[in-house]
Amino acid sequence: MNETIAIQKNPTGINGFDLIAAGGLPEGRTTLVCGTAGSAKTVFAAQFLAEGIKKFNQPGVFVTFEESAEDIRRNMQAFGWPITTWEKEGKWIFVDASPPPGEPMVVVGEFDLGALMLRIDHALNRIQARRAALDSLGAIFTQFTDSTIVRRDLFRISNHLRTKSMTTVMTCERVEEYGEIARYSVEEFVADNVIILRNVLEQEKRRRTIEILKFRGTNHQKGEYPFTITPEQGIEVIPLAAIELKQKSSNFRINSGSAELDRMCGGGFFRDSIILISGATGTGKTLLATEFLGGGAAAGERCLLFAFEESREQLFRNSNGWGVDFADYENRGLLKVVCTYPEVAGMEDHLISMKRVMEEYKPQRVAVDSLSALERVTSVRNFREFVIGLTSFIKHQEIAGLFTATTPTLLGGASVTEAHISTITDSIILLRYVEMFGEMRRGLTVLKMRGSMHDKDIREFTIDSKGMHLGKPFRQVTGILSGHPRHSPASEIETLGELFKEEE
Amino acid sequence: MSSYRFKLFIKGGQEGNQNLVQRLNQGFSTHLTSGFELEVVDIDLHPEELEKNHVLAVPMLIKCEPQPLRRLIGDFTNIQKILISIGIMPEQKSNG
Repeated sequence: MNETIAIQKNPTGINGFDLIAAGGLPEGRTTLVCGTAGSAKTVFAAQFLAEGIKKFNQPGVFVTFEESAEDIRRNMQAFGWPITTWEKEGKWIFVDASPPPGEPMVVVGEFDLGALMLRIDHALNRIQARRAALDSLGAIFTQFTDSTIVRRDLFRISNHLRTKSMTTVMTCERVEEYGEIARYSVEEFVADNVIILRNVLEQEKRRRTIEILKFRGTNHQKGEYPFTITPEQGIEVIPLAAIELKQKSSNFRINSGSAELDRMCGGGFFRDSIILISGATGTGKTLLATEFLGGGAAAGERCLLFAFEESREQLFRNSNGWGVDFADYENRGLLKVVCTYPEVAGMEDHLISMKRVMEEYKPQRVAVDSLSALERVTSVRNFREFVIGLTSFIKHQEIAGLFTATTPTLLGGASVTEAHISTITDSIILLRYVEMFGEMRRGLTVLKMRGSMHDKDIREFTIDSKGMHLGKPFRQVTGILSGHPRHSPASEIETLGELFKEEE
Repeated sequence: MSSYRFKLFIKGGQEGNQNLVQRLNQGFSTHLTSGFELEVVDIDLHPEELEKNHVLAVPMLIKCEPQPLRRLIGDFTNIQKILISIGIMPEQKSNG
């Protein structure tokens, strides 16, 4: 082997993983995948082979020490991998080194694992394998009591796989989530590359993460990345920090659903932008989202709504009340409404399923009502990762996204959601209650409109059966955004106006 | 009417193979008066046999018949121990 040649990467094909692995697993090397019980080690190993066959036509050998080949065939069926077919086609081969049923083996004297080595080698040659998976090393230590011999022979096997340039995944148990790398210290002798899978209980929710601890001689992303397991895709890593900021942006404007709001925004929203609507409960956030979708559908664009607060029936009834016919748009294929309870899934699963809907439906506009509902059911860090993942996905699709966020206080205030995503959003629209002369009124202002001029007024905002209407600016009130509206007499405003008048 | 059948898996060309086979033959013929059959398999020549018989380590001895199947691994320096663990030699006078 010529060591001066840079280490190549073999893309695994596991969604998102190759991004954090900067291309894939080191080609021709062994990577140790460690994790506690239930951390999806076997799925990772099997998926590594399955994706190799599906995407890269690389045959693979699966050596199983723990579960029988039959168990794995059956368990992995859930992911839709036709292992039996692949076996017939000579693309997948099992070396079943699981303990045979019946009495345990009796050890009488010295032995070596030459037979295992031979079986692996035979299998590799038979299908011209490019990938190998050994699952899991811990189980072979329990089969044979003499760990010195096992250690020595595993080292030989690992060396042999390396001389055959096999890209290999070996799995091994860990005792605790944050502690020694692997049981029996296998990492010391088998692998230059170590990946850790974790399954941590965090605020009563399971959170799976993957971390590349080391790739000797080649680069990778550092730290833990959340991942999830779905029946359609198996493991899906969510490569948040690895996402590149390379979205295109255009100057193409789309309508907001309200001609008045379009005017305030300097001619509508930008097509590939993220708009955040923030306001207290009842200020009209859902209405703005409805107008946004209605405006899109009326212009013949495909619109998608993810609703986490209200049921379908409520949404459809409300939209009718505002003069937007959701049912009609849906029949014409211009609208899709997905209602989910935030509690039904973890953040990663929400993100994955939302992405999937978007990929299938290919909308030109997406609204999420509301992000705050999701925020309630998870930890701050998890939520932040979710929001970043979602916004970057939407931006990559070059579609317009509108999110709503609820502020905790009725007057003024900012939501946590805002704090998390205000820097990623292109436009922020605030909805506020304004208390005036014993009456609650609503105010709307465009706080931020990236890349465009916009109206800086706080305008009165009314709702009737035709939807929303923007009225005159609140000229005689100050302190609306801070939650302490104060009425100022006209004369004072004039004086202030004079103060700031530019000299001509 | 116990006709014993064994399979011994060894890696060809290793020192001690001959001794091992001899030792087993000797031990079995003294204790198995009803006859036995010992098949020696060189794993290099018959790799397909390994998969069928779940062989990981060598030397490995499988008692195929009578049932139940038993597996032993090691260099079998202690022939007594083999005979006891596959139930051929009485466990020190406990039964006939």
